[in-house]
Amino acid sequence: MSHIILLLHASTGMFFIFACVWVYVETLNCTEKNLPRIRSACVAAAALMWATFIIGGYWYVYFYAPDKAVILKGPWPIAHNFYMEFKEHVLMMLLPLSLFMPIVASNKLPSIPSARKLLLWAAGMAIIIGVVMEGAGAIISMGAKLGLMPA
Amino acid sequence: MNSSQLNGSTKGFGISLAVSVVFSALLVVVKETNEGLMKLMKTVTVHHWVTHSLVFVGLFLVLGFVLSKSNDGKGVNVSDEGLLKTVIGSNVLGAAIIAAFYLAEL
Repeated sequence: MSHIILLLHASTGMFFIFACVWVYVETLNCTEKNLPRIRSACVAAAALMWATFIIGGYWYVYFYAPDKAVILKGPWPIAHNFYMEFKEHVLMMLLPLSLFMPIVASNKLPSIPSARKLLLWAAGMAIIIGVVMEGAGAIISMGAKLGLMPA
Repeated sequence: MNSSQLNGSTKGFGISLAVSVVFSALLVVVKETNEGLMKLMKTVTVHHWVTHSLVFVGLFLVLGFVLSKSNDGKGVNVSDEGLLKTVIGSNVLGAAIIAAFYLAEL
């Protein structure tokens, strides 16, 4: 069951990144016509981020301890000591950032360039942080795998 | 002078985002170096990380609502360019503080 939860966490995280890319591209081509789509994509991104956080948080609190012990005894303790510690706290930054995107999208985007610029930066930062989180997750998984392999 | 075209919620929650992100990064450093605070955060909820998340999101929401309603509902008196730089700078600073702290701990 814990493996399914973990895969779900990584999957919703990837869909969050896709939603942010969607926001970014739509905002680059913003008109009155696609404004409802931009706002929907922002809400979808926020919902996916919260799902990612709650699912990942549940796994981290209730299932991570055995993996942590394996990682710390293995050849890649940095997978926990840096990557997991970094990931668990930087991931949190995406919660307000994802909620901020629909708020920015509530402005009249087609007629306010500064609102479009702010939304592009918010979505862009969310994409970068999201990709870094996916990468950190891969390193943590590798740390656990190497810890289980015979020396 | 405020020549902003953004609505009050955007300015209020933008500043709130910046403040709460930097606060959260500093809370990482303080809780990891202060046993008493870490112990307290572990007792408030099931995990210190859950407590941290609740404080972080709670601060963002409360501060965001308060700042959005300030200045007769026009939000914080900040220029659009200033808000953009504050949001970007705070996120870079927050991530850098967390990364630097855990790298120094290795």
